Amino acid sequence: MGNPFKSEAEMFRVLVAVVVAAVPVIALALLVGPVFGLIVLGVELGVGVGVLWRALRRRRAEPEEPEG
Amino acid sequence: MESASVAAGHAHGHEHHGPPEAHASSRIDRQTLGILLFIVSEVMLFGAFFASYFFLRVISNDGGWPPEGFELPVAVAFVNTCILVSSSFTVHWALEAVRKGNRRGLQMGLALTWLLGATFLFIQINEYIHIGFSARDGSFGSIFYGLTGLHGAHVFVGLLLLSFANIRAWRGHFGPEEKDHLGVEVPGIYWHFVDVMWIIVFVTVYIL
Repeated sequence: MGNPFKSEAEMFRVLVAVVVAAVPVIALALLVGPVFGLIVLGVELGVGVGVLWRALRRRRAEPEEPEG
Repeated sequence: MESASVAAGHAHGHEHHGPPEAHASSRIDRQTLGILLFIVSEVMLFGAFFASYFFLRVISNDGGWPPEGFELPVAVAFVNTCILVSSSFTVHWALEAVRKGNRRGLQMGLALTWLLGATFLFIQINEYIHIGFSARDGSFGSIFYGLTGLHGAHVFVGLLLLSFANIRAWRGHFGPEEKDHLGVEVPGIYWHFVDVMWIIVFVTVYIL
């Protein structure tokens, strides 16, 4: 994923990711209890930060493309 | 001297009126850079409101949250969330349509997005009328109206942008080339941002 504000399509992907992440949080919080929703949210945030961190490191390792 | 510069202008093969073109980054066009900077400032604004919310909820709150006597219409807000999220799909559909040269799809997508956004705002105003507490009713009332009202104001601005895009689409503007549909692309980015912020507001205020 690149800069999410660079195009509508990228921002739409961000929105879909946020919706997909919010569904289990909402479902668990309403069906079981808000604490369970909060736990799932914490896990998702941890996984999200990890995935972003790995993607950034991979991007840094790649050689930069010359601008044309 | 003048004739020399005119000759030079002809030699370049194009005429340019007005001030010289500003230097632009090759990676991002000016309109998109503008909306990027605007959204970054918006993130900070929402961040300030969320900081107030969490301060009131976690630090300066002794009892439960929401405090006794306050009840939030979660079901209505959930339906409203679904309406707003579906409006993001319609604006995306509109942009996919214009990229493929489908003018009817662009017009329908933009009109549907506007209607869904207006419905969201109408339901939210209706919620305010029937919710049973006001912004003056303690810190909970203040921050509830502050956060949801801030978001509502953003939906209103988004609807204004979409109104211009709708009018232009029905007047035959916009085309499949990327530079020819920036007037839909930029409101589309803003609209998705407003939707993302609502999901965060909804989960934080109504659900957790």
